[in-house]
Amino acid sequence: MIPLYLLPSLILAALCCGCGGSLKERELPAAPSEALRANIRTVAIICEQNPRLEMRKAQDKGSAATEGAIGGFLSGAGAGGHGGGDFAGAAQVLVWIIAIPIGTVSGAVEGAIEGVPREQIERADLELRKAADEVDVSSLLRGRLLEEAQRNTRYVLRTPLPSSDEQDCTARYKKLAQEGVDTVLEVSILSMGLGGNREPNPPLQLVIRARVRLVQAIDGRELYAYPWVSTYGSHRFTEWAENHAQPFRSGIERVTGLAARGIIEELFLVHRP
Amino acid sequence: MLTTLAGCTIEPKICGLKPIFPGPLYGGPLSGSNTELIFVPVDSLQPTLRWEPFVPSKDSGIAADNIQYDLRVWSIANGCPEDEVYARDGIQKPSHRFVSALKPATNYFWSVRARFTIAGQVRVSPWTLSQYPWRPGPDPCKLPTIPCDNYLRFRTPDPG
Repeated sequence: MIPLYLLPSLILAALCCGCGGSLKERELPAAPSEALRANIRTVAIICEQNPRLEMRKAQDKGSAATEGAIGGFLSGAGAGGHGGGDFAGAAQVLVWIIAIPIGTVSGAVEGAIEGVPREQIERADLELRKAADEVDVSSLLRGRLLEEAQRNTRYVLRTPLPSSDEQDCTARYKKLAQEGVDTVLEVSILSMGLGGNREPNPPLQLVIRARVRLVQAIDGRELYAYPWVSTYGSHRFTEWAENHAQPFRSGIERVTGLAARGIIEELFLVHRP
Repeated sequence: MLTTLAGCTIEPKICGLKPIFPGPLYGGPLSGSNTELIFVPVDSLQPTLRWEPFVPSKDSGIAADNIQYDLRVWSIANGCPEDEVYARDGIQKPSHRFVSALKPATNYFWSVRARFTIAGQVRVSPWTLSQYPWRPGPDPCKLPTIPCDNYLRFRTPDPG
């Protein structure tokens, strides 16, 4: 049985876990072995999927005040109540009578102060979406992967033209194998955008998520798979959108570069003794 | 009482090459939960950073006569790395004095890794980071990028 006084804290914790986990990551699997790396000769780099935009925004003053009030209410309700004895119940009620209104009002005020005017959020959102639409992220990342692989490996590298038909990967990779490719580096960008904690106006990081697979071309056998996450910078929502979203535009360049470098190094260079 | 007021620091567990200077420090107020890595002061705008040498095991296949190091230093915005402000690859010794001056009274993140060869192919060790703080979730040492809170850090001296 959960003690009554712990309930608000548990609700608050559940709310925070549900909304703040925008940078969830998994532990890396073992990097490809030296034996596997030594057998690679020709690598095809495939990166074609256009990402969906995932944007954590600042909250407008009204929403921030409401959410602040709820948070304040719950922390007020969580106050006191650790004692026991005959008067514990009465004392708890007394604490709640004082703490809940104070918590609710101060949470609402804090939220209203930290929140951003709605029109500023809408303007920034428009600029950021326009900037994201103007960049072909998969093509950018494919180019960066090629550069990094050329710089850091001795493999023969190919970047096959994007597939126009609906043929499945196994058939497509088998065809590549007939053309001399032994290994396919497949990077599918799942999402790109701004991520951070759910607060009125939190610092947000530019985040790119991609499914990375290394596949044996001849039979489609998966040699390595990992849901990659790369991040860059940390600015408030409206700061990313300043000057026609220039920080966001250059951030996309940077985060794709970081992702490409990280992926190539992890697959082909990193050695964990 | 004094310890509570002053807070306390510990040397955090390090993944990768262990930094010698500036050494890593992790701490904060004893009574609070706000413990974090501390920006350790360095004595110059061109400090000499030092770390423990990379020593390969005998059966690793790593050519022990050609160990080098890569160094990176980042500026910081809102607690996360922003721009790479200093980068050197192929450093011959486990230390490096900056060839250009950093900004005074500024916080920086830094990291280092070993660069070596196996069967003639270039290989690198993972970038050094602090395993603390370890928030709920995966081991920071097993992520593809260093979490903002886990970067090694230092602070340059005030001007003059």
